[in-house]
Amino acid sequence: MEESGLSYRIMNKIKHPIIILIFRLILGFVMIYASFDKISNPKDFADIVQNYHAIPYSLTNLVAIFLPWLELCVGACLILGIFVDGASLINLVLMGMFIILLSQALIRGIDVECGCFTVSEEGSKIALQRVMEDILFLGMTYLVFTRKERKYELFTK
Amino acid sequence: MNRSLILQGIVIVGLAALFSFGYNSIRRNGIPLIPVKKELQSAEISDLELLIEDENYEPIIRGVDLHSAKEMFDRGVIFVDTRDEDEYQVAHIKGALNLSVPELAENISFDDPVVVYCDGEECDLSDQYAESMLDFGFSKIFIFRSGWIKWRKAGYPIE
Repeated sequence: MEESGLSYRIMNKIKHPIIILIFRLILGFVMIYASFDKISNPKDFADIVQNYHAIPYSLTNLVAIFLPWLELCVGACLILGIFVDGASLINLVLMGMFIILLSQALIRGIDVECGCFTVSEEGSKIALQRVMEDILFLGMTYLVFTRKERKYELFTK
Repeated sequence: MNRSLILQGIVIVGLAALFSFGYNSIRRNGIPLIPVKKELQSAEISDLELLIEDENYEPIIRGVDLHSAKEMFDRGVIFVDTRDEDEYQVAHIKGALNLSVPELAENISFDDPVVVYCDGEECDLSDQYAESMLDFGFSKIFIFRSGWIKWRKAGYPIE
C-alpha cells in the first residue's frame, strides 16, 4: 500500500506540466526529424518498408507515402500543443507498432536497414538500441497521454 | 475513449492523408500508389552466348525467363538466391549462392554473368539486389523473376 502510494507520488511529480511539455517537445522533434528523410526519398523508404516483410507488397507504397506525413503531423501537434490527446494516442500506436516490427525483424534475423531516422546507405542496421529508444519514447508518450493538467496547449478539445 | 479523442485522431490522420497523397501526386519524384515492377529488357536464349562472352558489355539489368535461366544454369552461370538465409537453408537452386553484394564482389569478377532470383511475383529482393550490384560495378546482371517458384515447378535441380 505504502509502495503504491510512493509510486503514485512519483508519477504525479513526473506528470508536472513542465515535464510533460519537455516530453512533448522531445517527442515532437523526434517524430519530425524521423519523417523528413522519408518524405524526401519515398522510393528508398518504400524499399525499407518492403524489406520488413510485414505487410503485403501491394500496400508498401501506400504506407511509405502516408506514414512519414502522419509522423510529421503528430510531431507538429505535440510541439504546438494542438490535439495533444489525439496526437499522443496515435504516437502510442505508432511506437507500439515500430517496437513490434523492429523486434520481429531482429528475432527473424532479417537484414534490413532500419529506416528509423534515415534511409541512406549508412542508416544504422536494425539494433536492440533502436528498440530500447522506442520503448523510452513509448513511455514518454504514455505519460503525455495520461497527463492530468492540460497546460501550455492550444486546442484541447 | 471519449468522442473528442476519436475526432482528434481522425482529424490528424485525415490531414496526414491529405498532405501525403496530395504532395505525392504533384511532386516530381512521387511514387505510384501501387508498386509496379520495372519492365526489363529480356535476354533471349540466342543472345545469351553473345551477352555472356561480350567484353565490352554495357552494364545493364536484364530479365530472363525460365528457359533462358535453365540455359544459363547449364552453362555454369552463377546464381544468387536473394531470399532470407533461413529460406535459402531449406532449399535453393542447385549451386546458388546466398551472399551480400560486397561478399559476392570478393568472390567473383565484375564481368561474370550473374542470375539473381527470389521467391514469387511479390518479392522485390532480386530487383533491389540487382540494382545494388549495378552500383557496385557488376555488369552482366540477369533477374529471374518468380525464379524460385518457376524453377521448383519445372522440377529443375535444387538442393
